[in-house]
Amino acid sequence: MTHYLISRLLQLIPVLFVLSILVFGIFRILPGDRALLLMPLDATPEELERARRVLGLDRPIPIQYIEWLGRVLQGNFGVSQGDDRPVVQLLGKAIVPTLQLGVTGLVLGILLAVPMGILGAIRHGSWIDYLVRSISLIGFAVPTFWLALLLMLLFSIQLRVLPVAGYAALWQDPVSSLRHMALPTAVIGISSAAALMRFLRASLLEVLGQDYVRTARSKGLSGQVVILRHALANALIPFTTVVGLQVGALLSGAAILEMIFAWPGIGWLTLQAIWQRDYDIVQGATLMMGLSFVLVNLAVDVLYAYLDPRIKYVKE
Amino acid sequence: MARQFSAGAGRIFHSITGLFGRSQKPLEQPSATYWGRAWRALRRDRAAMAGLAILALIAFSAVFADLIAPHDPIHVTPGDRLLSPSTTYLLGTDHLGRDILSRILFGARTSLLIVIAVVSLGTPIGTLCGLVAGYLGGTIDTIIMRIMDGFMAFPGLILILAIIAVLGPGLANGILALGILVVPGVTRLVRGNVLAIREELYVEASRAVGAGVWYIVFWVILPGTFPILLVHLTLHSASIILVEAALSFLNLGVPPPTPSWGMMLYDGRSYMSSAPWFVFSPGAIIFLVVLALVLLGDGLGDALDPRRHGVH
Repeated sequence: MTHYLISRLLQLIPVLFVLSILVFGIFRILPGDRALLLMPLDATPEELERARRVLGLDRPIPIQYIEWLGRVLQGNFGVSQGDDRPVVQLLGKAIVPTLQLGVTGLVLGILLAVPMGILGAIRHGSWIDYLVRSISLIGFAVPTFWLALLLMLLFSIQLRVLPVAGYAALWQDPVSSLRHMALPTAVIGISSAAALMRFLRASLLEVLGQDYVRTARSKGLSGQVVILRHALANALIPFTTVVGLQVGALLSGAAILEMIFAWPGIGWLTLQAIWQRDYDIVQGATLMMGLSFVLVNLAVDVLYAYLDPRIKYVKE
Repeated sequence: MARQFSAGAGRIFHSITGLFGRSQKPLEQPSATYWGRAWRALRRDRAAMAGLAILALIAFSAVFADLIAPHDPIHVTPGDRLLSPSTTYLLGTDHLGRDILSRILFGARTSLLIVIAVVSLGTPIGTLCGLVAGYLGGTIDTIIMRIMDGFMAFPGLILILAIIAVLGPGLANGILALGILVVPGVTRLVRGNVLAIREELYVEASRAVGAGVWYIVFWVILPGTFPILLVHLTLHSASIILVEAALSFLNLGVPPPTPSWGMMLYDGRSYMSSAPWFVFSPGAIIFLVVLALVLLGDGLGDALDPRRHGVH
């Protein structure tokens, strides 16, 4: 296991290297003069030149990259152009609401997907299976932002049982916070459940056809024991990987959902920064989301190796 | 769709697969080629055919939007603001008095154009990278694949948002950003497929008769990747439609007044309590197109899977 962990951590180095180059490159190499954007429109060529020197833009690009990486590793992501606050501080503040929504949404998604995936697999070919597949398909095809608007239309505007949008901290006003969370959590839950149940159903169907399941059945174990102890336990192993990948969809979706529900998370912060052309925030947020996605998938891989002993034998 | 492919570069693929497939060919299917059999399997798949029909209908309305649309999609009629659906305006009007149905029909053109542009930008680059990485292997393979891993390390929309943030919003920049996102998936898929095909007997046969490296890569191996690529691109088009709609919804896509489904949802959001139809129909059409693409993609996946042929 230690062996696997080390090799997996070593594999992380090239990915993080390419990731940092991409984040740096997008904001430096692509067209657009940063000095022009930062300085007032009537700045003289000399002033622009001075600004470029101060920003380090006159130095060779590899040097700029190393300087930037050095700053990032020290936790310096630059400052917001709007109010000069450090980007790290803004990101740190925004991550709590995003995590709050993401974790509850994903948990809801798993809670919906597991029973439905199992039902679809054990009633393979029946109308229940058909229903599960249809729900999964619809959940996948429905645009999250449209689903959010429809739910808002129904629960906030027509029935007036939930607030339209906004945020309240969980520890300050728990009831209001939960009421504000209900709709965005439901949207995340539904859309992640769609992908998860589809995968679990397929993976369970595959496991149910394996020899050891037939053996368990033939030695007289009840259907439930076979499904829960033998089949589900094994089908859930690859399922963890898909849950990890779902985090990527979650981070992508965060931008739109947070905007619709005026939820002050990373996505909302990033969008506002894009509209206001506040590049340090966008860069910091991009780096942070890329990094968290990579780390979550690393954690999932390690968990996978822990759950599935076969992987350890191959590596050691 | 399958037929178009069979007429082109797939011809060599037939003659090759034909060599191996002939002996197992069921008697009731005379002159069956790989793509011909796949098409027959697809035609039996009712869900996939429904998807194909929906897509054909929407592609038709995108191309002939000028002839079908009952009204001018960008003409502002202040007196007709936010009218509910009626016989004059079948899906109602928006906040500027424009006909929503006409805007949806012309919006189909925008979406179709973007999907075609994005796919034709990203696919050749991804395919080339995948072919090179898979066939040559070694250091080049490692370098290409690590770069692709880096791209795939970002949650999809986040990378696109970063690129748009730097380049600025707009049609061309959106297509570029989405195109960049297509490349890693195609590269990984083609490379994996090339690794499998490379060891096939018919590739070895071409090598034995003295075919050059590039001839083998482009005329022997490449056609073998078409089926899986077609399935991938069909399913990926669904993501392109969704991401493009999301971009316009975030006001970072096609600039107004060009009709775009995502932008219509963005506009409609402010009038949800007084004009719910405004947000309903643009979202419904996105949903329908994505659903159709997924149904067709799944069907193609089954129909083009060689293991399933002759099972029916």
